Amino acid sequence: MSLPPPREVAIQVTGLNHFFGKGDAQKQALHANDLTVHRGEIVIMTGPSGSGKTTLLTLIGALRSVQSGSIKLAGTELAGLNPVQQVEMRRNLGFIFQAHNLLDGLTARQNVRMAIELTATPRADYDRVADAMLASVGLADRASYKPRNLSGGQRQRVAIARALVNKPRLILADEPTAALDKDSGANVVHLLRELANHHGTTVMIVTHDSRIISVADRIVNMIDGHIVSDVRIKETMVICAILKKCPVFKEMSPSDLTDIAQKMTEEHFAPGETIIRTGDIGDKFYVIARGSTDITVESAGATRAVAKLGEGDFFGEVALLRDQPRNATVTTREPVVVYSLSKENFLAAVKTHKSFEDQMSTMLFTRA
Amino acid sequence: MRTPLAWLNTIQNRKRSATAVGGICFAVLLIFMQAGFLGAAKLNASLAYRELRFDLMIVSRGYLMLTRSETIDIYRILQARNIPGVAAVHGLRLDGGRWSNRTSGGSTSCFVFGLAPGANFFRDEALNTAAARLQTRQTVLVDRLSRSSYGPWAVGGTAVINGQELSIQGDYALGMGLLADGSAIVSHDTYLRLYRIPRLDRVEFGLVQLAPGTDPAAVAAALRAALPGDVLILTRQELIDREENYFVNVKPVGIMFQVGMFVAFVVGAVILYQILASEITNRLREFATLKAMGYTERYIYGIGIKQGLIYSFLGYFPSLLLSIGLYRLLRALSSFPVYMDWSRAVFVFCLSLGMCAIAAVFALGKIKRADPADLF
Repeated sequence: MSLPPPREVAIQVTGLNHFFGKGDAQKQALHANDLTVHRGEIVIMTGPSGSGKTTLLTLIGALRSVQSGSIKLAGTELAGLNPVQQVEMRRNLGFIFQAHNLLDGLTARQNVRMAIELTATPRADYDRVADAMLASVGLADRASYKPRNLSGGQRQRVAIARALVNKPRLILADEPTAALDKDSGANVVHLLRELANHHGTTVMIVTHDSRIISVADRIVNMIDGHIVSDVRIKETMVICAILKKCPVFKEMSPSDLTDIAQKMTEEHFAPGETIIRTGDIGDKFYVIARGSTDITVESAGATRAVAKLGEGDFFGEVALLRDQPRNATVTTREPVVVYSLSKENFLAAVKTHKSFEDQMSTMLFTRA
Repeated sequence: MRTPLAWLNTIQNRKRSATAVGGICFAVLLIFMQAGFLGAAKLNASLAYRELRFDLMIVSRGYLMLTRSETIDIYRILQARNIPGVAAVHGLRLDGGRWSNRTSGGSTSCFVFGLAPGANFFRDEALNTAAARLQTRQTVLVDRLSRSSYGPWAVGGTAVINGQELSIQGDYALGMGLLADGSAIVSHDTYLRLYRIPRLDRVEFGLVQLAPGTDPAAVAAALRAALPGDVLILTRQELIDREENYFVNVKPVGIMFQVGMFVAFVVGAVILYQILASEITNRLREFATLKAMGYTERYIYGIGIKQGLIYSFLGYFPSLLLSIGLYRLLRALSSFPVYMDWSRAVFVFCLSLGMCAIAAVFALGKIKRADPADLF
């Protein structure tokens, strides 16, 4: 398993606050939240009722005005947009609601057409495009049916077809599979995955449906208006795989590894760049996710290469455990991606996981 | 073609839409009836003048309307004859009388015209010919459009007006409508006897007939300059306009029809408002969804306006057909001159659109409440 290539940022949320009400009745729903979502990612948002996840979703969807902080969609700032500009912005998005919210007077085909008619698609192609989309959600034979003649699951699939038909850059969904049976839900998830993989569509889903967790690239958890965790599923799996290969981590449970992985930060270094230098104060522990590095030590005024580290290797732990300056310099040989763990988190992990501390002591003994 | 959302929304619930259209149809029908009554009343007010032959009319300075006209000195008629361009001036008398129904024994209103037989008072030559037969005293022509309350009468028979028996020499079709139950034409001599007036020294009207090719405005100006200030000189059109305006804007019956039309308009607007408001309230989530999809508020307002127009159209055309039928029925029953014409059809159509516009202005405010953020 390896990391996906770096991708452009689709959603950049910075210092986002949001308030409801005025004066004494004012209530803060979001508190200085930061979130970065890349193009093609599927992000699942979880959290208890009233945690602010829906408010965040509606702000990202330009359904509310940004009061404080910043939201950028593909580089376009939403803060300060007037209502007309918000409407323009929403045309690039797809919304899937828990209640299907279909137009009751229209057939399934006409409902999907309503979305197509917002685009530059030639009028002659409206029906063809709508029918193809309905076929892709398994409703080819229901195109002429009105919502009242469709089952709950079928209605939701029409709503999904309507949201996906223009291949939007961003899809915002609220419990999209809540009304669907297992197969229909899987079909919808498959569609979302396809759009994310092949069209780079970013998908944000608010859900409590554990059946669709597997589709997520990230799981963002919110409590009381704060993003309390942002688990990058694929990256965590990559980091855990690397950590698992290291002798010092191999005895740890997946849960412990995940805890550590979630606290690690991705860092990029150019070829020839120094990651740590001899004599510096040790402040981080590193694992190499991509690329290779040289380790050099200085003795008697001369620099001597002592080792080469590559993908899956780690370094920087000695200075943290012994609270000493760095005893070697690590320089990149090529573009390198590392995940770093702060000294504070590293030492906390050592204390929490006894086996980890034992392993590290053993490892230090062998390196000494 | 783009999806005709307004139309599809309208026909989605056909029963509800049919009820709504029925309500609007009823309101538009009421407008048609009131407008018909008003139009007929206007026409009726000037009907006698439209039948009389004159280019200019001399009336008293205190003239109000046909049936409320003060008299003028007959000398003004003689004076007017001397003005260049004037071919003839005839004095016409008019007053209300009582027609006795010999069958029931009751009496009913009758307007009596007094004229000089042999002169061309009317545009209808046949009526002029008939009027020439009134040389003999105590003879009369009777309006065959008079109400049935006149009882049975026939040409060659007799009629009793103001308690005096008159010989019926002929008939004509005028119809006094709202002014009286009927009318009759007699000679000046008979008129004087009917109203016990000693001599013909005053008349209600001076009908001025001009020589061919004469400019009525110029002669009117000359008459105004020549005659004293106790009379008014009016052109034919001025008199008709004044008569109709007086009837419509001053007389209670004209105001009543106007108020009736306004009330029908308001009722229609209220019905349409309720239909639109209910439709919009029921579809707030759909409108919010459209907003979330990227449709502008203008588009959504457009849906509401289009639905209002659809209801107006659907309500207008059946009511047009119904009112044509009811006009016919009314004419047959009352001889009231209620006719459908293009101007009224277009006028009521414009009122229907106005109804739609007013209802829409009030109902569409609800669209603001469609907040796409509430969909999550």
